[in-house]
Amino acid sequence: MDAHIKKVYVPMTETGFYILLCLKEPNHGYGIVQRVKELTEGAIVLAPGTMYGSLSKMEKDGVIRFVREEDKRKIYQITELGNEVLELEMHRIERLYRNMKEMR
Amino acid sequence: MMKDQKTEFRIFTISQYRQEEEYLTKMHEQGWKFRRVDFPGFYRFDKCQPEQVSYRLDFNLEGLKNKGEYEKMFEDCGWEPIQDFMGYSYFRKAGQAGEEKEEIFCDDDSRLEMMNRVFRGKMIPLIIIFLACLVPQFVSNMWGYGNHGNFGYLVTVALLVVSIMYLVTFAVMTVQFYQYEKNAKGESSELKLKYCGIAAILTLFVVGIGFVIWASSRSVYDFTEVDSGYVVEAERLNSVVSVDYDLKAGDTVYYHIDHTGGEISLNLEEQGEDPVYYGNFYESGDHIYEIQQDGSYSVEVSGKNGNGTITVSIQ
Repeated sequence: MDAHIKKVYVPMTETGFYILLCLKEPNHGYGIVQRVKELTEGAIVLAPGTMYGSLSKMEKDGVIRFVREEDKRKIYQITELGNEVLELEMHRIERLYRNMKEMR
Repeated sequence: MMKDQKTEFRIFTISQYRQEEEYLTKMHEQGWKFRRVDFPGFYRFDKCQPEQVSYRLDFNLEGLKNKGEYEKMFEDCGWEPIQDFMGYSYFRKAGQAGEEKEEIFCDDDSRLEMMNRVFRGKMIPLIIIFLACLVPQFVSNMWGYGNHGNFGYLVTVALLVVSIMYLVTFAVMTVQFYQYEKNAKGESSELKLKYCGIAAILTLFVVGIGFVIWASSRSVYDFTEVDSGYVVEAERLNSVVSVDYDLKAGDTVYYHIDHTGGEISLNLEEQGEDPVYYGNFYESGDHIYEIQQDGSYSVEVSGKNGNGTITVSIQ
């Protein structure tokens, strides 16, 4: 994996993590906002400035790709590289969770 | 102008988009709904019910290229796109009274990214213009090329003012960047080093400009008094050399200028009176004046970055 990708995505911001997670299925920006609201029971509401900026950046970095456009909404999906990076992050979170449970 | 419309003139600099957001929000709270802004800073409002409405600015040139998709994302999240102006996109969203203002960024990383975009999109072009126009001006000023006079002086002062404004804006942006990066990525010695480096470069720049100004106003010359006169050998004449003589009608004051650069001025006046002879010279020559009236005269030589030899003799 590119050193640059590792530096930017490991560890990931919470926003970045949720975006990649939701894009395991094809979805557009607002769809991701709604899904994350659901998943976190309203605790995290992603904002459009962050969303648009993140999606552009992730597409440039090759961790997501453009699938198609519907009603002026661009639909994206995670790539192989994106999955790799997401796996790394999930392992990190699992390790965090394991250690947390032991020491609680 | 009808009473249900209003225009206000405001200037917000590159680093003041937060203040601009506050301003528009406040106006709406007072019953003035933002309609549009025209260059260079005419904000147009329509009368409305006082409401709690959040105004936010984004800077996203890529968004402007894909405007349909960009604005759709904001609309989906409840934001109304109003206008784009100078690269900035203006949005508004109705809020609940008493709640915190609505935001278009939900984490510090993306806020920082936006500031980076502003810097890349606006500050860097300005820096390039700055270096391309202003530095040669300073350099030419210091070495005394071209005509000086009052116009040249005004230009130098204007450039100085603009430079100071640039440096202040740059310094403010640097501080803003530092605070955001500190919040987003945590304080670290690497971060401190990076910003100390930037601060050092800024300081060097200020010192450099200061030095150029100081160097160009220093006066370097040799003064030798001779029989009935004096000689000024000027390397960079920026001050007034004045010697008093008691002269009689019929006496001749003889100036010989060997000019090699800058501006050389001559002045001859009876003490307390208007000059009887004066002029600014940019080439070698001889200048003679015959005294009309007995009196005590100041025979003066001065200049602006004057370079050459001036011989004064009285016959």
